[in-house]
Amino acid sequence: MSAIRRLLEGWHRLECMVAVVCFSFIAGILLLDVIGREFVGPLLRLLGFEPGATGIFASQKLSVFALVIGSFAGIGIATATGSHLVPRVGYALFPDSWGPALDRIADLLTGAFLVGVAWYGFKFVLSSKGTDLRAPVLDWSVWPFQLAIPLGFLSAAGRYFFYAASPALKPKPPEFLE
Amino acid sequence: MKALGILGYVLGSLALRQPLLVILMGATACMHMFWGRGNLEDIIEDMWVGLDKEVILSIPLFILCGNVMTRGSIAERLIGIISALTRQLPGGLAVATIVTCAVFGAISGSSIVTMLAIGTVMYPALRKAGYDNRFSLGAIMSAGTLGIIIPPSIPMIIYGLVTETSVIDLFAAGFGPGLLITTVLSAYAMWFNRRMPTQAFEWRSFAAAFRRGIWALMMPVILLGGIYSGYFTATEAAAVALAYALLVEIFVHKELAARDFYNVVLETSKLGGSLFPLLAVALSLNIMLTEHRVPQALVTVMQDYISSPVMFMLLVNLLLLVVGCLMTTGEAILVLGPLLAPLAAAYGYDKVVFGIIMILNLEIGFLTPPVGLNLIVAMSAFKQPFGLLCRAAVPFIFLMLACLAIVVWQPGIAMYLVNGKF
Repeated sequence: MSAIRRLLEGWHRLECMVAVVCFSFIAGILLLDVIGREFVGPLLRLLGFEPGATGIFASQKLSVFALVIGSFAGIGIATATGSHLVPRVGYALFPDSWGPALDRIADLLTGAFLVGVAWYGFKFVLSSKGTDLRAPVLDWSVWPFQLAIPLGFLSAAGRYFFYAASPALKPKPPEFLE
Repeated sequence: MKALGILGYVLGSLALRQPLLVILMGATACMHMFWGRGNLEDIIEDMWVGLDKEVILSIPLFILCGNVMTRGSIAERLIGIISALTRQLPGGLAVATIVTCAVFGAISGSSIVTMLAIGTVMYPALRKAGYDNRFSLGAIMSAGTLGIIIPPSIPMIIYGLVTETSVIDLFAAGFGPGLLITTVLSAYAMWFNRRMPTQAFEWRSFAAAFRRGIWALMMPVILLGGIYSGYFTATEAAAVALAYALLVEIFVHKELAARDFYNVVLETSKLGGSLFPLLAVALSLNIMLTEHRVPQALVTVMQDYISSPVMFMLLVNLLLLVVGCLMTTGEAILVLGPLLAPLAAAYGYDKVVFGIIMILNLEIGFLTPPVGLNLIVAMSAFKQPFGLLCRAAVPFIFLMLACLAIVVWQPGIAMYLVNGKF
């Protein structure tokens, strides 16, 4: 059990690092872009220089890619911390004593569903790679960035299977979700 | 029959405790199978396309900014300035609580963050000054909800994305109703505490508090000033606000270290991980609904039964108030926004006004059991029983309902800053 727990913790740390790098990148690049465009450019013009474009080239497109990678790494983080939004309207339908069994069935179903989503995600990425779909402005192939989508779903699915097999591994949901 | 099948799937998923992400994805997949080409990769493609929007980038930036600001002593510094200004009023400290929540709402886009940032400082202060416990809790919980109506507001950005409404217009429109609620709650606080002793205004203590809090006070000025003057887009304003927050917290207040920043970003990632995939699925579902003209079909069906816009608005408000009791704001906007906004437009309501009305309804939902998040969070933050918190919220819910009714009756309160007309 402790080996699995360590595996999950390592996995979680890796996803946290990916997400932190991505969100820091978004903040940094957008900030530099705004500073360049709105402050540095006008200042240089005021001083008599003609600096051309002073923002960061394709900053928003790069930020969107970072957002996709960070967000889909975040699916695993949200699963590992019990932060996914789960509507509680159906909870009253069954007696409380059924709760633990229902939770395990729910985790198994969620895991299986997410494996299906990941499957279609991989099909989408393969078709994108096959047609060599490229990002406007940057002219980069987009499939490596798109790969974050099925990987994120697969990561979350794996966790749900572990939780179904061993509910003790499942995190307690936070007190609030917004 | 197919629609009943989807409804059955949704109800079954709710009973089986599935995450909203799975419920929405499953419903979208059913629609693709029943009415589309049955090509399920299209859902992933729509999710990819849905996230490829500039304004979406403002969400992590505003969340980051809010997290940076709440880690330091910004709230405490704002409280210092506003308390120095309101001390001569009856119930001055309570008024300061409400007004500080409003000012903090212009920095943070979240109800809970606002309630906790101000409430954890002000609740003990109110109790120490002899304010009634039930009143104090009600004031803090209800004023906390100003975080989502006074811009910047994360629910407004989500509504703007799923209904293709201008986020800048929504931000402008949230200002009037936010001020109205602040005024009404403050007036109630003054009336309720009319027998509380007052203090004379002191220039010296005000000047000291102002000097200590000027950097914090400049934050909403820069953020909202940049947006309303048209100088920045919502995303640029969020980036500038984040830079300002970091500069102030690191170099002026000296309350943020590198390790803290890692934790702040991690918190943002956690929230982003639950929100963005959900948003992507909702946007994918939205594309599917629009392709199959579902909102238009709903409009036709609704107009067969309800011809009066007033009746429509009444029913929608009732629906949203009930939904607010059962769902969180994000869930409700993602699910109902794309369906209700076109209906409202068909009955002659501007999508911006409708967004504000929707958020006002859901704002009240923060105070209503069983899923009133401010009640749930207040329970552990202030160590008070849930029943007492529910009772404490009642008078404030009525006041907020009155404000909602006023905005529905006079949409100019919201739209004045958008089109300059009452």
